[in-house]
Amino acid sequence: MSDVASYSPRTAAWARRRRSFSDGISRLRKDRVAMIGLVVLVGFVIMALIAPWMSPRGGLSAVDSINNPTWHPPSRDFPLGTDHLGRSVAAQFVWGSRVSLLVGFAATVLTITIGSLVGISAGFFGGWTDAVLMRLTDWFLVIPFLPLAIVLAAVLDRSIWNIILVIGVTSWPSTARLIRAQVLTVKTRLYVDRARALGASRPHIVARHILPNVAPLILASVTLAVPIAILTETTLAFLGLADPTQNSWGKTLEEAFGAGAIGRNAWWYHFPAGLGIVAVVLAFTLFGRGLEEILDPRLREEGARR
Amino acid sequence: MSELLRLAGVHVTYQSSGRSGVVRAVDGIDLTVDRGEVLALVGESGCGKTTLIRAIIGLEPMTSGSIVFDGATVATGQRELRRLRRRVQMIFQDPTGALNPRATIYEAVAEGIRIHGLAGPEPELVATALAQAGLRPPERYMPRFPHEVSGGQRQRVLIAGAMVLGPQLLLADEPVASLDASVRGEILALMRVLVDTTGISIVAVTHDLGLAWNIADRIAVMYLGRIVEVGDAEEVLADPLHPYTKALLSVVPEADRMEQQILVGETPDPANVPSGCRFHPRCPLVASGEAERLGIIDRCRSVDVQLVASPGGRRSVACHAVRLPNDG
Amino acid sequence: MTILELRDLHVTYKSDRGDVPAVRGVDLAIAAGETVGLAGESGCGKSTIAGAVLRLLPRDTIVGGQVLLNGDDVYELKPGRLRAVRWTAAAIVFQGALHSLNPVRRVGEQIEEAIVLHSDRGDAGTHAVRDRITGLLERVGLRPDLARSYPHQMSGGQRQRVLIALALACEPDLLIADEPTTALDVMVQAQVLELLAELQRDRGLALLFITHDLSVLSTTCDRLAVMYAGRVVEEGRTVDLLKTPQHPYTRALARAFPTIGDPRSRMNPSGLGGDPPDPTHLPSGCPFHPRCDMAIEACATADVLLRPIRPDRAAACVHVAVSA
Ligand SMILES: Nc1ncnc2c1ncn2[C@@H]1O[C@H](COP(=O)(O)OP(=O)(O)OP(=O)(O)O)[C@@H](O)[C@H]1O
Ligand SMILES: Nc1ncnc2c1ncn2[C@@H]1O[C@H](COP(=O)(O)OP(=O)(O)OP(=O)(O)O)[C@@H](O)[C@H]1O
Ligand SMILES: [Mg+2]
Ligand SMILES: [Mg+2]
Repeated sequence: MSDVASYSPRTAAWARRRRSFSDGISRLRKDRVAMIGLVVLVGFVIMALIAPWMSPRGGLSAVDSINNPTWHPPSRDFPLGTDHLGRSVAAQFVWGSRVSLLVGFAATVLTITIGSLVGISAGFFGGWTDAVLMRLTDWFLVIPFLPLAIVLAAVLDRSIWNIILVIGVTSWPSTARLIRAQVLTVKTRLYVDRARALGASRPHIVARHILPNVAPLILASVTLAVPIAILTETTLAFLGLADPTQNSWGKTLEEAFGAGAIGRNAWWYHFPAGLGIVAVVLAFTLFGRGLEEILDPRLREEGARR
Repeated sequence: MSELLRLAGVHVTYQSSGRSGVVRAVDGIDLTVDRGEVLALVGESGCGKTTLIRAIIGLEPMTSGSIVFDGATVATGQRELRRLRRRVQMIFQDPTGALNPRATIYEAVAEGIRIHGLAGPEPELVATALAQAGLRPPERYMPRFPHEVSGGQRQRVLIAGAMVLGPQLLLADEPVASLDASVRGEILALMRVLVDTTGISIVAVTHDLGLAWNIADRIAVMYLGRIVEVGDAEEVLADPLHPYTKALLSVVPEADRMEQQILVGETPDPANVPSGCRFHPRCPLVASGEAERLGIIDRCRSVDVQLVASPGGRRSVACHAVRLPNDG
Repeated sequence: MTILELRDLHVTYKSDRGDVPAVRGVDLAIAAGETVGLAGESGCGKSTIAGAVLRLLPRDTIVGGQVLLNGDDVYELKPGRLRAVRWTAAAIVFQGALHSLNPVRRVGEQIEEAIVLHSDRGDAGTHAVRDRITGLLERVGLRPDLARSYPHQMSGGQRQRVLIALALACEPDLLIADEPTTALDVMVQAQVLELLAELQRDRGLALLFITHDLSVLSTTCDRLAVMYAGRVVEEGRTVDLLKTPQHPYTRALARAFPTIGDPRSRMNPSGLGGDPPDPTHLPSGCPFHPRCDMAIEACATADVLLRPIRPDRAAACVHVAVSA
């Protein structure tokens, strides 16, 4: 029993949050499917992080691989075989995960940031702001996404950062709409009215009431946006619009396709990259679904206890 | 007693989406609230009670009219509203909806303190307010989330959150409608105690006349956006003058009761206010032919009736058929 | 003739927090043409009883005791018979059902569906069925042309009437109305109460009226049963019970709704302190003792069952003298 004078609201609030966080973790642990997703994800992230130690960068260079056999199927020396230039496919796979994940995460940060800013401002301020921002969003939405990305990628320098920019700039509108819709419902909640009646300013309402209540949705959109970003990067790379100095899975696919790997039945060349993409995307989706579920019951529980 | 709040000609309209025209939710209200009194604002669902008190605290913009609070006309600028909202507080019809599910009870009560930058040790202010609202010991409730306490306790949290700012006026929208019968009395008693100990004024919105009998000093009866009768609670309940008040009183479920006057006809629609006295299509006096006998039926149908005060000013009624007694 | 009889009804929900004993031994009988009120605060098990009568509870719920509807034990009926019994023997107007009408279908169609599904009174669209819809709407005091409206075009009171019409579609012997007026304002509440009283008078319908608002029951019911923590703690004829409540809980409930004009309640609202009991953690002894202002030492340890006081009257309190 603590008494009032020593009651620290912050400590108590944080204790509660920690508890509900660890609660969430333990519930997530019980979700077998989400855990599989998480394990796969963590595996890929670790692989991406330790790529420099797993396989030397030289494996990616055609010059350094000049003495290697070409089109060599998987063997002791080349666990995933070699490509048409004698480069190790394993090295490409490991280094490719780095680029794919980096693009996936960075582009997502951009997408979510723009999407949240636009969605929250449009939903919260309404009126003119909403009209202008939503017109802009619609404009981005109706322009076919891929052609726009292709045009942008073609016009800009072909660097990995520009690819991230292109994906971020073209994929925020759906996030913005989603978040705006949620803000609109949260905004009509009685507790927002109560805060206004208490004399709260707009920044206060956004920070204290709107944000905490759209945060779960933002988190959920993150798990949706990452796979989309990765797939977009793959598409762009496959269309030859990637950074030529960076090896991504998409670029591997493009090169395998260009070199005729499919015709030669050199499955070891394109399979790993394809599988990697599918695995990461699937893992994110599975994990995201589990995450959504643990974020959601808390809301359901509140409803049920009325 | 001195006057705390004066509403003059307050109108609030909504733009109706489907139908053409406007919804005249609040349609010309004159009303005063004294210091240290409980005023019960009663009326059927949809008559504009919530809209009116939301307009008082600036949550709903007035179309016309003026509000004088504590001697000064209330302006509508952000800064003025903010200042007003420290001295006028509101509690809502649905205590569950009015609490952010992600904030602890401590945070809910402290919110006002933080918004207005009140001096003093925050935990102590919060604890005092919680204890005053009957949540004892306060430190047991502070770390809980709204879904971890009962509905009655949630209403107490809202009352604590409002009282912590030391307001002069508390607007309570159906303070007990969503609560269990057993909890109802407790919350009402708390409101009465607050008035008697702190001198605050309360405007309690309700459709429950029993609530008015329990705690109100005065009653204002509202019909379709207008006040149709105002007076001291005991007088209005013992001797209702307006036919609408009489009907309302007659349907209060009680074991031994008077003849019920259940009003039939369509529920009144503020988008389509009848001409003449707005109550005449449902008025028992008109239906029974009484108005005809009194020779006022034409006026009922065509002349909009105004609230007329008794010579002493304590009682006002808006009905063509009523002559007010002199109350000195 | 007894329409519904509950004998020592027990209902225990299964939940991840453990077993929830929501109803713990309730005996109740309703005769034809009789209106019985069931009162008690939120969570005391009122709706659970309503659900138990028609076997509408979640599958894993444990139900003990007997529910006799027209003499048949509802829990021993074959599925086919059970379906017939629902709606034709007893029908429920569910709590919070105001929002349960399908928003995109006309009210008439929804009534028609109930008629066609639950009786063999003919097929959709026939004259017989259409006449029946008109009759039902008139009976609940609605203009027949309202059959063509959608729920959102109706007021709360009108929707509540439609729900009553739905429940009456198959001429049940027993109508269970779970909080039928809670969401309505006083004037509409009065309309619905009058409708229920009229139906009951004209058709000899047995009515089980569930609410937390004792004052609503005072005008409509012949007999009252007051529940606390899953049990009936007091029962008797309405007037008798409200005039001289014997259980402290009934007394608190009755006082919560003041009589206008009664000087004792003027400026003196009265309620009941403490929190409603959590069915998973019931207090020892008499479950009401932590909130009781008359509790004696024994109350904390000795549970008290319903004691007959005189014919037609019983209460579960140590202070009640048992009649010979
Ligand atoms: N945002 C809105 N837009 C259009 N009409 C509205 C809006 N809010 C309320 N109204 C209408 O204004 C009228 C008054 O509503 P208000 O909520 O003030 O009624 P009330 O007296 O508080 O009723 P209740 O007892 O049901 O809470 C109603 O007819 C309602 O339909
Ligand atoms: N499906 C369920 N699983 C577990 N517990 C339940 C379930 N349904 C109800 N309960 C619990 O059983 C108890 C009785 O519930 P019931 O709905 O019968 O109450 P009630 O008297 O109708 O209350 P109210 O006035 O709020 O409608 C409550 O404590 C409730 O939390
Ligand atoms: Mg209202
Ligand atoms: Mg219920």
